[in-house]
Amino acid sequence: MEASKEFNAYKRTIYKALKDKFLKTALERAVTAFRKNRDAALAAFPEVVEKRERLQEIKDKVIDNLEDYVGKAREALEKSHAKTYFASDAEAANEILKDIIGTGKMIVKAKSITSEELEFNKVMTAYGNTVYETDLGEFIVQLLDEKPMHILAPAVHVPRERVAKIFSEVAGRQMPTDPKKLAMFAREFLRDKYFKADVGFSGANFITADTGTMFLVENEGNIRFVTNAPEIHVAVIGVEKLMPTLSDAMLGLEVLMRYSGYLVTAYVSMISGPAKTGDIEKVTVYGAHGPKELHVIFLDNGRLKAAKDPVYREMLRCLRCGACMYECPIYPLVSGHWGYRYMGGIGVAWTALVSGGLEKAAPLAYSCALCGRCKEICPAGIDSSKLIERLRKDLKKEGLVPEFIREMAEMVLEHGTPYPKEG
Amino acid sequence: MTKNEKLGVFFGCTTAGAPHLLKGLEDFLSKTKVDYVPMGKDLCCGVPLTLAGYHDEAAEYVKKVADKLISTGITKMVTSCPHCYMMFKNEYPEEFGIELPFNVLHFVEFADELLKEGKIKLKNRKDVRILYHDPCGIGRRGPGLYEEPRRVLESCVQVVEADRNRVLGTCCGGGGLLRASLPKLAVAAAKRKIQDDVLPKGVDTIVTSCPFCTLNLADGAAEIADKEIKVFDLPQFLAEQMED
Repeated sequence: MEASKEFNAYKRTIYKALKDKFLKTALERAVTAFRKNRDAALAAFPEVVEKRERLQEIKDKVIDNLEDYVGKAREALEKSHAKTYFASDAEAANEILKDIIGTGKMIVKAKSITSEELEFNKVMTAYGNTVYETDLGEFIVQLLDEKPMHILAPAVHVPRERVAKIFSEVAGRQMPTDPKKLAMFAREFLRDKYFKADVGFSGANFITADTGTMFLVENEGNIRFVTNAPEIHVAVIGVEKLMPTLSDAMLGLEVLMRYSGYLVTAYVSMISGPAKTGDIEKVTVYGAHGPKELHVIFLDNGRLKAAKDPVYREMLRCLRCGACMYECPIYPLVSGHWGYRYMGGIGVAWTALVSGGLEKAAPLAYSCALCGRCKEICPAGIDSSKLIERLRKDLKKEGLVPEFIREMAEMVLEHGTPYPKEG
Repeated sequence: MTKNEKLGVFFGCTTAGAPHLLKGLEDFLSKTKVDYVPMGKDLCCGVPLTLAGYHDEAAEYVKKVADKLISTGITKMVTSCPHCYMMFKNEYPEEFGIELPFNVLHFVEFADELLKEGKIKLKNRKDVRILYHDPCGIGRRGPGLYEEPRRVLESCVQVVEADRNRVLGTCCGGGGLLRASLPKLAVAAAKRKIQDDVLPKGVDTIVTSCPFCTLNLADGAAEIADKEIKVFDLPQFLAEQMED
């Protein structure tokens, strides 16, 4: 049976990951540091715990009326001279992107998990463009030709020794394992790309319906270059990123920063339209110093359908702060190997409904211990265990249950015990 | 317990299938000298079906289980398995519309009750330090039975807390069918939990209130070569601490 074959292949990957000493070292370092930072951020701003309740209400309001909010945001953006689009799925988004970007172009890219849904790098490269990931973690992952293993820290699984090795290959000289020196190498390597690039590509953490303002939260400063230096800025934004107003997004921003383990991030960019000036006789000229064009693509890709489901809709509250993953008993053992494009417990529902489908989600659905620990830390109060239990029901209905599950269920139904009799 | 009460003890297939856990619960019950109807030694509550998404098939099955339990005429049922507990307490009425005509208690509630009523006498062994692990089933995914087991344990030994405990406790990895689907991953989670939570506290004994947690933590402990960590299910641990 297909479902069992998929599951067995997945099981081999997971067991291999369990034995990976590099992975273990890198994850232990990351988990310890992240938990410490997050606890410190929450201790310094204890009111954020109350704010998360307000955030959940706002998010639920948006999920109830997603299409309305998309409409409002598009109207606001168009008023500010941006071009807006609505893509029902990844393929539609890629067609729009090809039209905007064209071929033979250089693209600098900010970290965006939404772009993973589109397989942006693969599609744009095949279309004759060159793509540079500029987030340090994504840059490392791109050089290694691997997939991101965490939504915030894509190279969470790569210890410094491996970074040094791959950077040495790019540099053509031996690089030290000092993280500082490695980060400086990436800085130098990428610096001129921002100004040579034709297009800057980004996602967004929030986008407001009242003003069409996208919020981009970062520490490295690469997003500022990506969204500011090239003449064209293109953003692909999942519709669940909508917030009703600017002040709602500010609240979301505070919650996101603290739960991501930051007292404050170094940068927050707020972008509502292309650059403009009216300094000469009040004549508006677009593209003053920043981009001349801003294109914003709102992406559905299963989100609107999820919004209408009484159980799955909760997944759309996700801010992608990553807090759940570091509290999970499972994720820190195997990182993004438990996942497709979206990872960990919350990633199982995202895989099923948005990026991958039921077949890809099927093996992942049985890696959760259903302990509910993630819900306690989630600023959006998402109960991933509940989402996964619901998904297991759907997998059963669609005949995507791995063999061991089927055998166990049959044992219970026929013999009143899940355990095979000895001998 | 009043005269009209008839107690049932639902062992559950995981406890029944592990000789040391079964003996622990039976020893505890015999030392308390309570009368009870043993049940669930060869009758699964049906939780593997709901965890596997087999709700349609489970409907008929759980009805049969409920009928069997009801036919014994018990007025109160105790189970030491959080999975069975949550199944009877929540899933039977909410998912399958079956109202059981008796109260369902988890073992930690039962032991706490017995202690309050002075029906169990535990040895005073305050020199013994144990770490209590909160099972998710009666904790954050259940009614939050955090204080009951601690009250009982604190009456005989010294309870050491993990830095993350109660609602924030780290899962052992033994639930959600993980021990069936990816056993090595489940055990790796238990090993990590012991390394993170238990070893830094200088404790060599873990007590918990779930057969899955007990078995999984024991498997995790077995993978830690340089230190021997003992893991007990609460009934089993209490049986050893009881005056004969």
